[in-house]
Amino acid sequence: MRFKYLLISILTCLSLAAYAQPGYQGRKLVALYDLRFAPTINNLNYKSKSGLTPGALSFAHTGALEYVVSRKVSLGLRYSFSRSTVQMNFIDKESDFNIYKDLEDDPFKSYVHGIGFYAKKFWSGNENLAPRGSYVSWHADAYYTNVKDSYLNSQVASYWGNFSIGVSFGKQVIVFDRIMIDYGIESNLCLPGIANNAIIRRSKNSDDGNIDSPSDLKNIVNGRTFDMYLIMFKLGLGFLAF
Amino acid sequence: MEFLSNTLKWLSLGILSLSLANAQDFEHFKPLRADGNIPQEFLLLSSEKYSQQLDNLSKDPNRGKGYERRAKKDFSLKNSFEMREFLYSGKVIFNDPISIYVNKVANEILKFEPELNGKVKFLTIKATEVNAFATHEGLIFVNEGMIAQLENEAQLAFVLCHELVHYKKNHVMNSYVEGVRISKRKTEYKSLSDDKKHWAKNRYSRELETEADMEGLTIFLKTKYSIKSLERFFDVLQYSYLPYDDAQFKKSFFETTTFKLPESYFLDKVKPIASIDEENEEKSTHPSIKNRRAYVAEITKRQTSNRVEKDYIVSEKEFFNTRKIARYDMVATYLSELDYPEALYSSYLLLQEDPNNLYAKKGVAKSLYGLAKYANEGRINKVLESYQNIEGNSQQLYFLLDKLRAEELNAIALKYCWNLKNKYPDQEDLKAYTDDLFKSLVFNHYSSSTLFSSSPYVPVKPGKTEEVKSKYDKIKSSQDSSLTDQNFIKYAFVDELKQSEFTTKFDELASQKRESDKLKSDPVAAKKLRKAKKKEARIVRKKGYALGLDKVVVFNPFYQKRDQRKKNSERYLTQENAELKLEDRIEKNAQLAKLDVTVINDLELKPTDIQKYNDLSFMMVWLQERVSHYDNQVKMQNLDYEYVDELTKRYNTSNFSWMGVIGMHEKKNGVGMLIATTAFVWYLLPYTVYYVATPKYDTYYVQMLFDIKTGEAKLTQAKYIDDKDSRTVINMNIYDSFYQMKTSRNK
Repeated sequence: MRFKYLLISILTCLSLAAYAQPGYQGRKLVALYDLRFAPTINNLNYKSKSGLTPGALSFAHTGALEYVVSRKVSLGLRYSFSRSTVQMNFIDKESDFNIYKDLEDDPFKSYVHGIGFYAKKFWSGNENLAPRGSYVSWHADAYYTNVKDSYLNSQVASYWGNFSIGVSFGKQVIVFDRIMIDYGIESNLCLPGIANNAIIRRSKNSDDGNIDSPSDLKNIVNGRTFDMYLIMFKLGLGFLAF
Repeated sequence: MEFLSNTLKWLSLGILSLSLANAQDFEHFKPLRADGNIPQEFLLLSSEKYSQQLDNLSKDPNRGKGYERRAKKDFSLKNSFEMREFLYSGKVIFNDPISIYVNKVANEILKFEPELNGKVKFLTIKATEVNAFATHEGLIFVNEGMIAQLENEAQLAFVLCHELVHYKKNHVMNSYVEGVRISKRKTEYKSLSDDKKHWAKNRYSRELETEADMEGLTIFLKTKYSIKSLERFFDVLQYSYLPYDDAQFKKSFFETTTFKLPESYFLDKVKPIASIDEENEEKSTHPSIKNRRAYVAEITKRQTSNRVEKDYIVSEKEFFNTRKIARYDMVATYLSELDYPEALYSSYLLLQEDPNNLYAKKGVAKSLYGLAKYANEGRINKVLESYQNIEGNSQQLYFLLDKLRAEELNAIALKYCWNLKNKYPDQEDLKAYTDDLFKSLVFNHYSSSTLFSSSPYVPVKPGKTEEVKSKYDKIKSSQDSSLTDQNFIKYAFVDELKQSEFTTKFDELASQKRESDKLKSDPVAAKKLRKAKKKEARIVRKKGYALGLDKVVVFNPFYQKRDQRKKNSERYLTQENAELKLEDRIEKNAQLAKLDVTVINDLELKPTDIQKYNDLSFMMVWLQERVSHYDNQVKMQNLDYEYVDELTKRYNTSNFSWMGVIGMHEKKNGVGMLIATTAFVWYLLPYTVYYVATPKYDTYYVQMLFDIKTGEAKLTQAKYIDDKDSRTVINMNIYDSFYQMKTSRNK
């Protein structure tokens, strides 16, 4: 009940603030799809084979609802989804996992669902008004990760835990008064990922090099998520609803 | 018989009413406006005119080749677009009394040049300079300043003959093509140095002027107009920089029995009138008046003595009436040009002829009001030329205005306006000027009426001073007893202070001033005020203005397109197209913002839209005047109060907005340097490729919303957008302007 009141209060405040804003021809709500992508340098993306695959890309799909709350600011909620192959090349082939030794592809896939919110500040210098123009955006996301074994078609792990904060620079362009094109560059820090990556490194440098506990698996997956989301380019298409 | 008598009665009544309609009421003179149907030349789009001119050019066997042909095409383009801009500058009128008379005189001339019949049109420009000019397409413009100075109809006929030759001989285009030839150093100009180019252009222009004089004279001699009048015509030209009359400015003009101006504010002798005739023709586009006089005299000498000589063919009465109209209208023109001293002197001259003329008196009041307002802001130099540059009797007025301090000018202006307002209580404008001057007098200069003397100045008779005992009493007594530069203004309101209305008003304003001072000196209140202002500024920055308006008139929206990479940067053809679309965008965004917007646009006018044409013309001049006040930070009431009132009633709003877009394709600087640097610093390559491959566009958006009743700028936006002038950029800004106009914080 308390949450409901809180939500109503927030929405009321937002709508009051937004009443005095022009938006674009009065349209303040934007439904936006962003395709974020990052070059996969020495990690695998979802489809690529084992080994170093420069030039391949990792993708994250993002859907967002963005609302203009002042002449220069818009706030948004977003949902993102990405998937990737988890590189398990340090698995001891003689242990329980040796069933994979003949596979060409790494069978472990991570599916990361993120929800988050963001605030976009449109540059005050260039006389643009939200939701159009160059902007800087700050965002925070929480991720739900699902790890699946595609070979055995079984779920290996699923958990909440990762969250990220980030910043992006971009530009939103409106065409035909209704369609929005968004492009830019985004950087995210998946906070547990930093720590986990360090664990992985230590683990890799340990004498036996084996990882056989679920937490180690998480470390590897989170590390991958951290790498993927660290720097991404984005290209989006939006619709100015009302 | 009865039928005949009735017919005659009705006929005579008809003639009477017709003559009454034509008669000008100089007492309530109204500035000239265009009348009748709008001529076709005004209605054609520039692109249509250009296309017509291209068509004519292609049929012309003398169109030339190469650069000459290109120059002619270039001229046609520029001429078509710039001429339209001029036609809608607010200065051009037609079917007004001056144009009608000029056309009648022109018809007398055209009897001898029948091939020009129907090809030329004569229009008036509301400008005070003594000038006339012809355009390539046959429009001949005569300034009202020219009409105001001419002495008879024959002189006007010669001016028209001269201009007809300019048209007939295609001088305007020839001059342009010759200019190109000189710039490109073609034919005989091959060895011309850069500094001589300008002189060569002037020489060619003088040749054309001489040809217009000579051939114009040939046409003139075919008519029955008097040759003798031409000698005096060159006097008109020679002294054209002076007002239309040179009457002594009397000291008594601002004085009353109780108020006298100090002697030191008047010159013993004014600067004598010299001649401005150019001795060195090289610098001028026209031959010297001395030379023109000489060769015209040479030709006229050869004329037979039995030639019929008339100063007037159309009508002497109509000439003088038209000239009088021009002189009256010039007061309004001077006022709109912020030339208050000339407006004042012209009004003074009108009052010499008709001392009780209300229009002329209001001209004085408006001029004094303008001068006082500028003086109060310390910007009198913006509207008052140095008296040292003025020749003749008007120098006296310039000297007086130069000597008067701001507070003195304010007091004199108030005195004049107050008394005029009392005499004509129904004149709303006089009331507005008086109120404004009163307020500025009390708030800026004199906070109490006791600072003015309520009894007249009485010079102390010699002998009485002997009663004064000490040295200091003597000094004080001497200061009090003589009328000096310092104390004369003390006696400005001796008569007015006897009127209770005046003293009450003074006391009211003084009380307001005390309250305001108290508020300013109270640190708590001042802090509160500062805080409130800061808060308001913050809200405006975040949310914009919220004016809560329901209706706005957008007049003459403009669109300019420029390509800075090219020598001739104006993109005329695309510009007109964009301007046509702009009106649709304005209307659409107004609908979206739920604001009632009326657009008055010159591109949409129909022949019968004369009212709209006049409204547009008025607003263009008004805007120019208002922007000058705005630049000079002077807040002023309207000087053409009546037309503003009419406009407000006609459109049911006093909110008028002027908006426009300038789209620039910019020239990129330093491309070569960047490429050279990239050869050494290879990682700059992506940026270099991006910089070189992408065009650079900028957009400027301008919007000024005025309350034309008060002259207050309610919302001014001048935005630079680092982007192309796309539909989105334009829509975004127009909508934002309308949104800020419409929305209200209370909602």
